[in-house]
Amino acid sequence: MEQVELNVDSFDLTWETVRDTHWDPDLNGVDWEAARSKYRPRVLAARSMSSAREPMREMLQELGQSHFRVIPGAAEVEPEESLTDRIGSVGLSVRVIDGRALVTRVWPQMPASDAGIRQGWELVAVGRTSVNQHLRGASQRFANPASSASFAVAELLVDAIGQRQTLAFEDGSGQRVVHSLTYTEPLGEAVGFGHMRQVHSYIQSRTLAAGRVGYLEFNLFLNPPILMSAMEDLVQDCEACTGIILDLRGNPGGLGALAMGIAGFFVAESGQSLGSMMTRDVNFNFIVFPRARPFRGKLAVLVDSMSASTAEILAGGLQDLQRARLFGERTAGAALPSQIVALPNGDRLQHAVANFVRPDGRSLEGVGVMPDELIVPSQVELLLGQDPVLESAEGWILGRPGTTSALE
Amino acid sequence: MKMTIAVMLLGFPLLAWAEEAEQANRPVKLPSAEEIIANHIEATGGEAARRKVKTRKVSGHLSMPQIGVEGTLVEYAKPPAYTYSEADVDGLGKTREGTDGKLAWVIDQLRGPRLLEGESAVFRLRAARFYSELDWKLDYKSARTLGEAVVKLQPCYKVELVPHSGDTIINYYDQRSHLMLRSDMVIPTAGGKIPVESYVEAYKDFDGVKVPTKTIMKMMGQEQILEIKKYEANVEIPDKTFDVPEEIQAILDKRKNEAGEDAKTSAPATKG
Repeated sequence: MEQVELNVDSFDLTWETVRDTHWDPDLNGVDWEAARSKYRPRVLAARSMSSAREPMREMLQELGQSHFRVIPGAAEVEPEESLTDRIGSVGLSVRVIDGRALVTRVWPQMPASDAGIRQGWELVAVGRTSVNQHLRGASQRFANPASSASFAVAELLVDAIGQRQTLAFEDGSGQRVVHSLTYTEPLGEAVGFGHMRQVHSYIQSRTLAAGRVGYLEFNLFLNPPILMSAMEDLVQDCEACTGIILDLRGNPGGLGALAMGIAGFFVAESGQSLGSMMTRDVNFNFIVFPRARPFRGKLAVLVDSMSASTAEILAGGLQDLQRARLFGERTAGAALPSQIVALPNGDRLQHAVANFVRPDGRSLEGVGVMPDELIVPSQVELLLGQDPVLESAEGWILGRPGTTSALE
Repeated sequence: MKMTIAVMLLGFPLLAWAEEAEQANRPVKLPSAEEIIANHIEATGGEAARRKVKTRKVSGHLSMPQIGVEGTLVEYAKPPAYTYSEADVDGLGKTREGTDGKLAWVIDQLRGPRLLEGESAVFRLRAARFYSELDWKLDYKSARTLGEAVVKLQPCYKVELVPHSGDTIINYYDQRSHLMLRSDMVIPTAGGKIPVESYVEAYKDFDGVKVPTKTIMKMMGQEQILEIKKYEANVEIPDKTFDVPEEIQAILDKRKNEAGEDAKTSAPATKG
C-alpha cells in the first residue's frame, strides 16, 4: 500500500508542478484537468513501478514538448528497465541516415573497436530487437524525424556497465556480422548535477591542418570548471589559428548558462544576446560577456540530429550573431530550459519551465537549427573513414578551393 | 544581513509563490516607516552596537533543495562597501563576487568574468554598503508604510523603500519582535529583471548584534537557501582580499586600451 501512496503522491506532484510552472498558462492547449482524471486512476491501480510510471509518462507526452519526462530513480531496477545509475558504453555512435542506423564513429580502445566494428556498418539488431522494427514502433519525439530515429536507436544501445549484449551489423558488403560486447565505463569523467543521473563528460581538443585550425569536441554542457578551462586553453593555444571548430554533434545539452560562457570566448562585442528564456513571469536574455581576449578568427560549429537543447542555443545563437558558420544536419528542436526534481517514490521528474526563442523571436523548440551547410554523411564516405562534415568545416576555415569561403 | 550572492542557474524560472495573506483593511494607525526601521535597528542590537562591527566574515551552507544542489559560501565585508565572496556549488564550480564601492564584478564558471554595469551595478553596490540598514537614507529617497501583512503567521508592517534609482523594495517587519522577516525586490541583471522574495529567519545574537542566520530566496521557481554556520565580527581581513582579480583587471585594461584607441582615431589630425 505504501508504494502505491508514494506513486500517487508522485503523480500528484508531477501534475501540480507542470500546472504551476509551465511557461504557457494554457499548457500548450492540453486540458490538464482532464489529463488528471484520465491518468491518475491508472497510477492508483498500478502494482509495479514501471506500470505506475507509464501513465505519468503518457500524461507528460500529451504536452507534445521536449524536456518533460519521468526518470527512474537509482534504487529502482526492474527487469524490463535496464537503466541504472551506472550506464556503460561500447564506444560507438550511431545515426539514422536515410532510414538506416549507420555507425558514424567508433572510439579507439573501446569494446566496439576492439571487436573490429567499423564506421559505416549498419546496426541491424540489438539483442533480439530488430532495429528496423524498433524504429517503426518508435514515437516521433522530436520535430526532426532523423532526431527521433537516432535517439530511439541510442536508447536501444543503453545498458549498464558489465552487461553483455549482442549487436548485429551489416558490414557494407552485404555480410552480417554479430558481436557480443561487454559494456564498459564510458570515456570521460563521471559528473553529476543535483538530481540528474551521473553521466560521463568527455572533452577533447586538438589542432588540425598543421596547427592552423583548433578543434574542440565535448559531449555535454556540464562540468563547468573542466569545460571552461579546456575552452580557455584552446583559445590561448590557438591565438594564431585561422579558425576554430566546435564539434557539438551528439551533444544533448546540459547547463544552459554555459552557452553564454562559451560564446564569450568568440564574441568581442558587449551586449550581444544568444536569445531569450521566457517563463510565465520573466524574460531573461542570454547575454554574452566577452572575454578580455576573445578569439577573432573563423568559427565553425558542427551539429547533427542529436545536437539538442543547450547545443542548439549555442549553435543557433552564434549563427544569429553571424559569428559562426554551422555545418552538418538539422538539430533536434528540443531546447526548453528545464529542471530535475525528486519525486516522493524515488523517481525524478524533468520538467521544462521556460521557452527559448532566438534573438529574432523564432522558437527553437519543435524547429531546431538549420546548418549553413547541410552535410549528411553517406555510408560510402563513412566506410572510407571520412568525416565530410569536419572536412567541410576545415576547408571553409582554410579557404580551400570549392569551399564556401573560397567562393566568398 | 543580506544575501549577496545570487547563483543564477538556467532553467530555474520564477514561480509565483502566493502564500502570504494580506490582512483585511481595517482602520488602524500605522507607525511611520522611519519608526518601523528604527525599531528594527533597535531590535537587532541598536545603532551603537552595530557600528562597533567594523568587519565581517560569514561562512555558510548554500542549497537549492528542489534540484538537489548544495554548496558552501564565504563572504568578507568591511566599510564603506567592500565585499568579497566565494561560493562553491556542486556541479557548478566556484563563483566569486566583489565590490569596492565603485566597481562590482562577478566571476563564475558558467558565464566567465564580468563587470556589473548600469542598474545591476547600482543595485549591487547599494547592497554592499556595510551599514546599509543604519544609513538607509543614503540610498533611499523615501520610505512609507504601506499597511499590514502576515508573513509566516506573524503580523507584519509592510514598508516600501524607494531607492534613488532602480525598483522599489518592500520589507516586512514583525509587529512584535520588530525584526525584518521578508524582503521583496527586483534584481536587475544584464539579462533582465528578476523578482525575488527573500525570507529571513533564525536570528541569532552575536556579541549583542542579532543577525538572521537563514535566508530563503525564492526566484524563478526555485528556492535558494543560505544558512550561516559561522559569523565572525571584527576579524582581521587583509586589504588584498578585496583586490580586483586579474580576470576583471584584464577586462578593465582592455576597455582602457579601446577607449584610448577611440580617442586617437577621433582626435583631429595634427597639422604638419
